[in-house]
Amino acid sequence: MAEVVFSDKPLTINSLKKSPSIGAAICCYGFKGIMAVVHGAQGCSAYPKTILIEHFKEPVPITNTALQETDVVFGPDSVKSAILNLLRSDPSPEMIAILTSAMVECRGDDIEGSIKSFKLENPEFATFPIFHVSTPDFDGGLQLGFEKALCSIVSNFVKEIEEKKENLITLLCGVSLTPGDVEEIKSFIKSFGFDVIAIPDLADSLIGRFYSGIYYPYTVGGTTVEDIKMAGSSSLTIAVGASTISAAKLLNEKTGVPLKYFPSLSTYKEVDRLVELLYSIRGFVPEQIKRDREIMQDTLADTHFYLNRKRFAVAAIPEVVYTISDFISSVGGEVVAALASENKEELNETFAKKVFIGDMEDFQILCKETEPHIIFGSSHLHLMEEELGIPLIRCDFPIYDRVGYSLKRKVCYRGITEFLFDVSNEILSHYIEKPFVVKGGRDESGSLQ
Amino acid sequence: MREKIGMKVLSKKPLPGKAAGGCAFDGAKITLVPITDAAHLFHGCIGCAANGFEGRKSKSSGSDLYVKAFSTDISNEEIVFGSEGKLIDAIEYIYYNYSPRAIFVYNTCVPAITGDNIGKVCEIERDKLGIPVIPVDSPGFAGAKNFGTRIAAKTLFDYLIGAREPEFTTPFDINLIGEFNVAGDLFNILPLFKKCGIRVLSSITGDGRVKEIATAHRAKLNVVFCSQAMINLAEDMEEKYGIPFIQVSFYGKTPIENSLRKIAVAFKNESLMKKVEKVIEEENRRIAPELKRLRTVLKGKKAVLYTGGHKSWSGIELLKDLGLKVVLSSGRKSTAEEREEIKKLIGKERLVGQIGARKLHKLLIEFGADVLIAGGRNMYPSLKSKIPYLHINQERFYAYAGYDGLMDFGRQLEITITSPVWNYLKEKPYWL
Repeated sequence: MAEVVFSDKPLTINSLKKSPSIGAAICCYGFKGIMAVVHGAQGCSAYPKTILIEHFKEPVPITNTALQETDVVFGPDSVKSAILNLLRSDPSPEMIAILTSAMVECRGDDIEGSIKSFKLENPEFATFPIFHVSTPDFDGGLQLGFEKALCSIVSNFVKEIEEKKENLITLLCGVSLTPGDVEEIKSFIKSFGFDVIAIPDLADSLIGRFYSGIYYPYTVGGTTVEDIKMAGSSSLTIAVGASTISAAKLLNEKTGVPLKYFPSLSTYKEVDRLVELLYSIRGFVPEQIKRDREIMQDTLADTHFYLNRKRFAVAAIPEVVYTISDFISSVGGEVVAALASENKEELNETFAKKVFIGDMEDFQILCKETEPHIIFGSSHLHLMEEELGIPLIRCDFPIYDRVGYSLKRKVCYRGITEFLFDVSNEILSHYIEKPFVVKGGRDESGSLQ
Repeated sequence: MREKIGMKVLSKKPLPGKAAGGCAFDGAKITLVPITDAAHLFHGCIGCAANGFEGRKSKSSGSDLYVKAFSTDISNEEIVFGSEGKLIDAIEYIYYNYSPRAIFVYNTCVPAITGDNIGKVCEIERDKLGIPVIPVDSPGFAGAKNFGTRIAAKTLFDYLIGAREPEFTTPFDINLIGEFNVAGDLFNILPLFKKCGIRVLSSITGDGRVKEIATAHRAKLNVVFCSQAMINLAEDMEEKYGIPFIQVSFYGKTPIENSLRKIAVAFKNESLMKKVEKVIEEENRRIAPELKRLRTVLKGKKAVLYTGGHKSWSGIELLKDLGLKVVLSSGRKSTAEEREEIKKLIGKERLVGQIGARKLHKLLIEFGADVLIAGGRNMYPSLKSKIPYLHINQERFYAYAGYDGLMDFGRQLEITITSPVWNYLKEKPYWL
């Protein structure tokens, strides 16, 4: 149980908080043929685009309404013209998300109204899936944006379906899950003989896709609108990550599909709990899962030397702070410094004494005081890694100075095994392996006395 | 007498839903942030500072203060009750904790519409703290990125240039304008000037320092690198201080040599001209063996160049120097003269404007291009179609300016074009 402490500075220095619109865009990329439109100035999508590409190493569909001075004053409905321009282009998107910048939220634009009046004026697009996510920069950060997008998807597209499919499970994926994590959880559940609808499904859209001859400026893979609708016919919803909880509750209220919630799948106990749940329905556990569990147990034994009683620090979005501290405490490590870029309820449950809400400057001061062995966080923390000489393990968003992060996994037995190796190796290379020649082994005179 | 360009920009009004590229704030930021010993405070909501944090790889030879992204990170309540108080506190926090040589305060969309008086706050703080506190009026909706660079240039002209006198002057003092030291480009160029005996009084703004830029009005010549970014600054300085300016490019052998000669001619000095010729000869001798090797590797490869401004013609020179054949180049964000230059170099039919990723993808395949050289946003039309690619804009890790840059550019092209993976990617086994 952690106490949440706020920074009282009049400014933010090297912010670890990113725009909510980026979080909303990440959520959108789990759906097929989508285009995310940021209603604001050109920079409101240009910056996110650059950073999203650097993180996922994949093209990402994001554009803007390109508000100019005259539009800000006189306010023609740029949202409507953006939608129309997109729908008239060839190829046109299959879904459109409208994300709002701080400026238009400040001005008080009625986006829902714009979408409605667009559909009235263009009846041929009356059923076209368009949804709005309110993502002003002055309210929350990346995680809140992701949460809101997920809620908007559920409230706009999920329908109550009376006839349930026993074989079908809806998987709600949190913001801390990489495309590799989503792939892992999907195949984990599928191995019990279930069909899975992942919402959002980053694994299908952001891993290894080529163009098949023609250029396609929207998400190539991902869950379709039809599939989202089918979530109402599932026999069970499994929600992974704190950022899914409000959407999960909404889904449950709308459809009556029972909900099982996992704040994280990066600790052995939580994965066991998932197995128990699936076993209770199916009555068996696949051999591969049993084998993976044994391998993970063997790894826990092999790596405990390096992890127990070690000191760790984490600075990230709340869900990552929770996940990492949960993992660390499950192997006996201590989280001596925890800082979140925005405030969320789950931080109170974090396995650390205190969680600070602040920026990189605050985190640096915290790490100087607490002297952790390892820092967890985004690539931005490399600035601190260099200054303090403490190794950084990259997680969170963005990771732009490493390749392969999208495929990295730290969930389920296989992911935990790999993550145990990653953390242990970092400890090994910085703290355990020492050079053969020890300076000061003898005193200055060189005598044995 | 040429017509003054001033704040006029070439780009058309972007279409909602189709717009790519940055905003005016983005332009102002990339133009001024390379000033390394200043603090850059972004007044507004967090995204403007945080989303582009560490996004540009402008290098410094000293201070790293410019890397820090300071933001007032204004919240809901501050929008309602006003954020000027927080701005004052933020400026003072920076002053007392980071001792900057100057503080640039950037206005963004939200404070611009709530109507914070940033100019007044900066004036008060400048008088109180005794360092330049400079307002940059750059809300994103003011226009495109290009327009933001003009705002930045105007700001430097109005608030910083002329604020100090240089410790000494020489007959060959120049300012570099519009070279932002991306990946260390400037560090490849400075030694050339030194060898020629030309003194760089200030660099605006790559590896820039506040004190140096303040003395820029005493230069004898302004050397403008980008045809678009800060041309208004050169014009204003010509008008106010009588400093003539010339446009140069240091990408590619011919542009480098022409540029050095142009500078010598501008100074109308016999001995400088001789020195320049000597330096050119020495440099050519130095790079000859490696250049020959690269030309053998890259000879006849078909390149598509999709960039903007002066790089769209100097990039062609760069590629030609290395033996490649440029099958297509874009003249977007280029001046009429630059587009003429492109036509001269590769032919009218091979010049396109702003064509977008979709058309670019189509043309890449039609031309059977061996490599695309472009900016990050256009990387995927190429890689996703299994065609080699090289960054030429700010995403690159290597400096491409100067003679050493030419060699590095060649080696990076060699790496992408000769990779054994492409053949494998394009093969389709019978069982697939």
